[in-house]
Amino acid sequence: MIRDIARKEFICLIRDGRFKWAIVIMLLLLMTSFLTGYQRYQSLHSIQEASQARDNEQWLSQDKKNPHTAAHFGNYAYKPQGTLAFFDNGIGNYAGSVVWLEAHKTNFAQNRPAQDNGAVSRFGDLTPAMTLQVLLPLLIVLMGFSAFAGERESGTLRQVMSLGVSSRTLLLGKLLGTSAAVGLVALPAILIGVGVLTFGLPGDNAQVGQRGLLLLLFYLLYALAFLFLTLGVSAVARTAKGALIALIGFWAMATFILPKAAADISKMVTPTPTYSEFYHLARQTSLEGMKGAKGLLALPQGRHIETARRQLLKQYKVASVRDLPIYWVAYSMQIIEDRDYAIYQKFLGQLRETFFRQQAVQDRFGLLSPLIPLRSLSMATSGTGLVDQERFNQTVQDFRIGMIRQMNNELIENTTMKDPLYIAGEEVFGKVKPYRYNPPTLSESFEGQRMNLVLLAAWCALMAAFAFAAVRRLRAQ
Amino acid sequence: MLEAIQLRKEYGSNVALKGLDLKVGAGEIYCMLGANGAGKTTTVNCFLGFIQPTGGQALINGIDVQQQPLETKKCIAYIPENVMLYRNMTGLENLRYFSKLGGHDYDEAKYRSLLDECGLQREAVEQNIDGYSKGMRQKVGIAIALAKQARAILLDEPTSGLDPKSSNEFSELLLDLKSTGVAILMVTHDLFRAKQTGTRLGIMRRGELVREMNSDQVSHAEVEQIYLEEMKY
Repeated sequence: MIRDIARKEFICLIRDGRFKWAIVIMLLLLMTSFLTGYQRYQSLHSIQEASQARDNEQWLSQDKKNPHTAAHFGNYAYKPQGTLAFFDNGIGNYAGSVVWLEAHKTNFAQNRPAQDNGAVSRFGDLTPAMTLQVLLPLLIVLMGFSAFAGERESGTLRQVMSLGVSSRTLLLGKLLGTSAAVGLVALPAILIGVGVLTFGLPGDNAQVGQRGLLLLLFYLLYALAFLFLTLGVSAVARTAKGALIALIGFWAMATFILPKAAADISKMVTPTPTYSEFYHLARQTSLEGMKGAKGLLALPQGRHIETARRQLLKQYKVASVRDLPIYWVAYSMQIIEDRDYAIYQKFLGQLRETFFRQQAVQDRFGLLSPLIPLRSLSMATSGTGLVDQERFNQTVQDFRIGMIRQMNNELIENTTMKDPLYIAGEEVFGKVKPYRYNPPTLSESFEGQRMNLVLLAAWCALMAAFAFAAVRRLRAQ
Repeated sequence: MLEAIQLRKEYGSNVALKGLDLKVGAGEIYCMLGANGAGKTTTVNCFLGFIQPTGGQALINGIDVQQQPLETKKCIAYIPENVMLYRNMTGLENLRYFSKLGGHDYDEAKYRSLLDECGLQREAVEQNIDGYSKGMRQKVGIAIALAKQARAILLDEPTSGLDPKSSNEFSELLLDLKSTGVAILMVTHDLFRAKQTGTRLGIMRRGELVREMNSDQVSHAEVEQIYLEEMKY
């Protein structure tokens, strides 16, 4: 009987003119979002590959020069996108994907599309993820709002209920029928997604197959939560119009207002310093010493260098840096690099903690909107979330200090104060291997996502419980 | 068999049914007459389990509707004043769907013959309900009831708005069903049709069954006279 109800529901939906329009619009949007996501991914991937190769080549083929000067010449490190970024580009628009690596300076990631685009970009890119997160529930609402309320108004519910159909059977039938109609839209999207992942995209994500399946599961739970909610509201609403108004109100709240409010409130609760505040504080700490630190970091920069100088003279049992068998200037520059690296690590760590705290505050709003846990899980699964970005930022800074140390050591070991001239070439620059980003594994990507997993599953379970409770008291009129 | 025992329904201070006692046996057509608000439809709704009585019992084949609502609905068919069907489906599709929900599935020829039996024009069978008149919808409603092979039928002003020819065909169908032992409770304002079709007639007034009579013991004119007398109070 469930199958008969589902079949009837499906037939009535697909024969409805409004549904035809809705499905065409939704399909067009999904196709467009897949196409733009694919093009954006392809374009960024090829630009990044070409740029990284060109910059690595430039690094190696730069004019012969002093290695420290070569470190000033610098290089770029690019964050390659995971394959699933075409589906959900996550925080990529705001976080940046390339870092300029140079001596003496710790730089933030650049190339943030949100900086270059207009205010419209604040609404987010038209990615498949965004389309499914925002428009899929709207489609479900439009298809399901009259499932019970509309039948009650038209009188067919009375007819059906007089036949001895249980409300549970009715709910499951309508759920299946509406799901099948939604599936008409979702299926092409899934097939395109699988096709693109299998054949279409270069680049790699760790465990892309598992990630794809998880994405499917998360979006399925999300769709089910909205399906149950829609059918439950339709069962309790007096009129189809009333059900539609209530559901559209919830949809707007859950997909637009709450996510935006969550982001703003998280920034108010855990504010981040401005770019200039961050650099000013780090620079000042470098010059004046880090409060609460042990050892040389606690000293002002001048005293740190002076202490290191004395230790070095004592170690080599000489009276002047001119008598050292190593190049003191390069040595002192490396002291400052190591000191700044430690200081920046502390401040970047604090900044990272702030970002994660902001994320945690936003995630708590998942109690009010199923979109919030889904969004976080979608980004984490696609490898475009905060964990990925922070791993890139950290590994880039580690790479930078290694690169600078390599160049300074060349100078320290091969020159002295009396004979400081040292010109290096490709054989020296080649000792710095190109930066390579290793994305987190699936379990690493899901760090901190437990609450979101629980929330998304809870939304689905609660909405199902609501729908079953609602139909238990189903009125025929 | 349909039976109401001291059936009572109150809506706040308004009493819709005041302890109704009623029995409709197998092979009987009981026509319930009365003005609007007399409690006729409330009685039907109690048998359908759509409303919960404040007191008493509504029994179908001896089973309490409130105790086993799904079980009792399996034994009855219901034809309302306006049979509402799915407008995006054809008459045939509607019949097949409602028949399956009622627990009976037949081959297409049987569905067509049921619609034919109910007087639906053959060319209309595969047309969408959107283009159906009220009479055509009622005929599909009757076909649904026939397909269910119910032993009791509840009718709530089923001929209201039907043309005389359709009403007459409908009455003939009811008489056929009666001859097969089906218990029928019909709520109606149509005194003529009630006298012509019914086995017994009952007049409801303000939630009470104030008069009952066997239709074969009264003429059309007497039915009308008794009815109007009862409505004076």
